[in-house]
Amino acid sequence: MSMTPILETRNLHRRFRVSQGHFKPKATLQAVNGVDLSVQRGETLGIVGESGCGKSTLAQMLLGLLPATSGEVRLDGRPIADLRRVDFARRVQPIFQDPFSSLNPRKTLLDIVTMPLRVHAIGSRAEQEARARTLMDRVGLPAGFADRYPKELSGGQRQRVAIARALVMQPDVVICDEPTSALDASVQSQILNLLMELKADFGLTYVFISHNLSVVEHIADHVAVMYLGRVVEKAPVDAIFDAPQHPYTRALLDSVLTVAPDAGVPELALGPGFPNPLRPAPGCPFHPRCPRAFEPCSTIPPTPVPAEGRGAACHLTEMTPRGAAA
Amino acid sequence: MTDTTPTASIPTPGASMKSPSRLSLRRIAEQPSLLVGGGIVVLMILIAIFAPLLAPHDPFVQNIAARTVPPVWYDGGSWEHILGTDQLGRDYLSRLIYGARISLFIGFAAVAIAGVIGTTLGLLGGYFGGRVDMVVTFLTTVRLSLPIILVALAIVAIFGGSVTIVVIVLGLLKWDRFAVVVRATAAQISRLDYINSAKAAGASTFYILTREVLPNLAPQLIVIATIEIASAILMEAALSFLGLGVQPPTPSWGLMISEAKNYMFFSFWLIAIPGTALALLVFAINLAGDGLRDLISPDGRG
Repeated sequence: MSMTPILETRNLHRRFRVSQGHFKPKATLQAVNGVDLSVQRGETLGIVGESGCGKSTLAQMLLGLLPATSGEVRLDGRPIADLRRVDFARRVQPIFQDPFSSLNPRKTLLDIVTMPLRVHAIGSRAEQEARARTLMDRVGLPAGFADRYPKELSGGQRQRVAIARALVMQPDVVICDEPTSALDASVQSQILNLLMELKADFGLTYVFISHNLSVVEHIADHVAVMYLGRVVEKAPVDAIFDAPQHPYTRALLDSVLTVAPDAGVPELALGPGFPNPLRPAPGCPFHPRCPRAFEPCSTIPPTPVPAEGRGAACHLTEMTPRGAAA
Repeated sequence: MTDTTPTASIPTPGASMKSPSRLSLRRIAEQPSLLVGGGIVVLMILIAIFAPLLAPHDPFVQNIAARTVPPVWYDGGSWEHILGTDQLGRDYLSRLIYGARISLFIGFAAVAIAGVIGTTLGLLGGYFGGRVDMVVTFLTTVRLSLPIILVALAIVAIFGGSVTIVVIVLGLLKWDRFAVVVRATAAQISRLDYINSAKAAGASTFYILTREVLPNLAPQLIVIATIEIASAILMEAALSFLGLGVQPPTPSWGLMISEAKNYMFFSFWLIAIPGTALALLVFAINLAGDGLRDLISPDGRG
């Protein structure tokens, strides 16, 4: 842990002002609320959480597309606000969720994949196309697809194009925002395997955002669990899956559907539906849904997860520390 | 070096049917409305360009001895004046041919100006949103609250009528539809992930607006441009008819209709011939626009 992480966030916050209708005061939405995360070079950090927990806002901020309200994102220890947009773009690239909206329908695949090279004026036109064709070949697109348009492709093929575009500038970090959740199950595993091969080949670092725990288990080295804009638990992938500490992590693990026919749909002890993020509960934000909430949970916020190492933001673990918990 | 090796193994898709240019040619042939409409428009443009070669007479020369000669297919008509002569004895076919120049030039030039203004405003408002969008929406609302014909009449009355004035006035007044449609579409597009990808690649705002957003507006722009060209041509005719557009003796279809109105009960072809030409041109432009939209919209046909 003494090495400078390649990408890290320090006490990152993002607030949105949300209109509640005419003549009503605007509400404040804390989409990202004090997130401390770090990824070492060559690792994969998985970020999981249900819809609306701030995962995608975090992804936008890690890509520098959305400025922080407070706190900062650092690349190699330098705040990205100090880096030139173009220099940052060479090192951090995205793969988005929806391959149907991430490719410009009016461009050929070759134009789409060479776009970053043209923006950065790297090499001659012929060199750009050669590099793009090499990558398209590497991600498994049939030769001769270069002149086709996105509408002629399936979801999985489109996602391969998006991967080729992200890698064409040879970045160090790739932010994958739910890259497989819009795909068919059979295609999901192909894309996941491709991502893992590419990681080894190009020495990439991934931040892998997903709501699907089994996908994250497959690909991540470390996992951060988010709930309402906060990281509630952070640990190496084995520890998360073998010994989850936060009740929310446990609930997420229990919610994974299995193929066993007699298992049925899992029964969750999570109570009512998703909380109103405009009015988070006092104390621990998770306590209204927590099956194991007790007296201090409704008044005292738990200690946040430490910036370094692992831990869970929960009163239960503070009282009965177990395992390697700090 | 390793980058270049696999390219040699990729077969060139030239021989197969996937070549884009061949694809478009075949698809143009499948668009009867584009063929018919575009054909008429191209024909009229050619006639306008080569007017000095095609016109049998000088359109300005008057011949008092041969006034209101009927077209060749009526009694008293002659091959000397195929479409007859007007009330001052000028050859009507020649005036019609030269008049195509005025109508087409005013239509295309005014819409070019309006298209640039409206597209720019709409792109900025739709892409940036917030304060920029408020300014664009305000300007559009102000423009929509001005009746075009009234403003055009006032300006032409102040500065005098000429082709240049009519083009500028129409250009400055007819951008609202471009702005409204482009703004709405640009706002949708700028939320899509391919815009985020371009931002994440470090592309400048100018690059994103011109290379990523603008090409996706082409179908809408073509449809609006055809509607607006047709309407600008009609508006020029209306202004000329009211005596505030193109000034005599310049041959313009609107002016020809205007000059003919006193004679329409005695020599009705004087008003029917330029009227038919005007209707045909506007119809053909609309037809061509429809076909063009079907041809280039990515989610339209195959």
